[in-house]
Amino acid sequence: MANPFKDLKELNRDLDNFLRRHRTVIYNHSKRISDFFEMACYNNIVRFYENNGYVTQIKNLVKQKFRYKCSTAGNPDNFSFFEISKTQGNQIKLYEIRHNLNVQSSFQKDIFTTPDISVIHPNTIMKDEDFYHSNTKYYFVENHSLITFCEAKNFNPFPELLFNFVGIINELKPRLLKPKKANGREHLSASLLISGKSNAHSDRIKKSLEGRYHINILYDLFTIGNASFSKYNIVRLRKLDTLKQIKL
Amino acid sequence: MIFYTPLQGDLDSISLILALSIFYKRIISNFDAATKFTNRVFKYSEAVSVQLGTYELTTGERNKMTRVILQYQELLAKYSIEIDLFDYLETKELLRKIKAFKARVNENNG
Repeated sequence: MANPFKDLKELNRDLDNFLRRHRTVIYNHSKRISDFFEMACYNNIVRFYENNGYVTQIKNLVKQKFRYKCSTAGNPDNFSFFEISKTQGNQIKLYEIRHNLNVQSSFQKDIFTTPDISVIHPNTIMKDEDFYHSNTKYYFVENHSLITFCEAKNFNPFPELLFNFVGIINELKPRLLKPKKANGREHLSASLLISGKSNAHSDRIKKSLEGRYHINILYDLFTIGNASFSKYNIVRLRKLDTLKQIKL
Repeated sequence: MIFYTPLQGDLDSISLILALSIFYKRIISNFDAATKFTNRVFKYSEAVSVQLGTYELTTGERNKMTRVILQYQELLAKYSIEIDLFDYLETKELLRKIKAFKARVNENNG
């Protein structure tokens, strides 16, 4: 076993070799780092539902490609998504996990925001022909079609970021800003997923916000945060229930 | 300052370990996330790639990224560096961990 403090020349040489061997791959993919983080979050939300008894299916492949929606623009029909379902007795619970989908405000019908990940009722995407005052169409879901949503941030947590999330919840799911007597079971409550590690102050803010509101704030998503979505840990997350189900 | 005296002669090693940790946080963990998502898509569908705008993550690209991750892990293993060492918020926290790591490595190497 080499010693990084004694075999410094060897360590330097190994690092040079490693970087020389992989520099093209590293360079080509490093431009997509923020998309990769969103993918990690999307993957974790799908994991949450799988570990919560849902069956997942990938829908809407385009020419055998999973088309990932990277921006808020575009027709969601042209992009792929995960469909999740759970059968209970004679009822089937069916939802779509989408990314970068415009969602209507809960206060006003003609204003929208775009969470990174949304869980919605199936086949509920609407089209607005007048939004842009041009031929471009605007695609969105009505607020009542949204079940839950997540914001993914590839940063270290800081106060403004954490408090801004409360503003988004207020716009999309204001009822989550009231404490719930009991935790739900089916859906992940609105969640802020952050890649960076927290300091003592951001831990205090998380504790305070999660104490006041029915939300999840998860830090350090590549290590501890990632484990939050395991089968045994999802019990600790704040969850929601929904009444709308489809009869078989 | 006395606390860090045992590291006084190791600035070059510390720089490299710091660089490795930044590389892990910024690149490797994101590559790992992308390969996990791509694996899921390939496992559950007939998809042959994940398309992000004009960029396409094919099986070949996924394999290249996996190779980067594996060889990075091999590099760490060769020098007994565990990923836990990179679990820090502030650089001084890393320095404290490096100090303990150095004592452990030197003890094991006699």
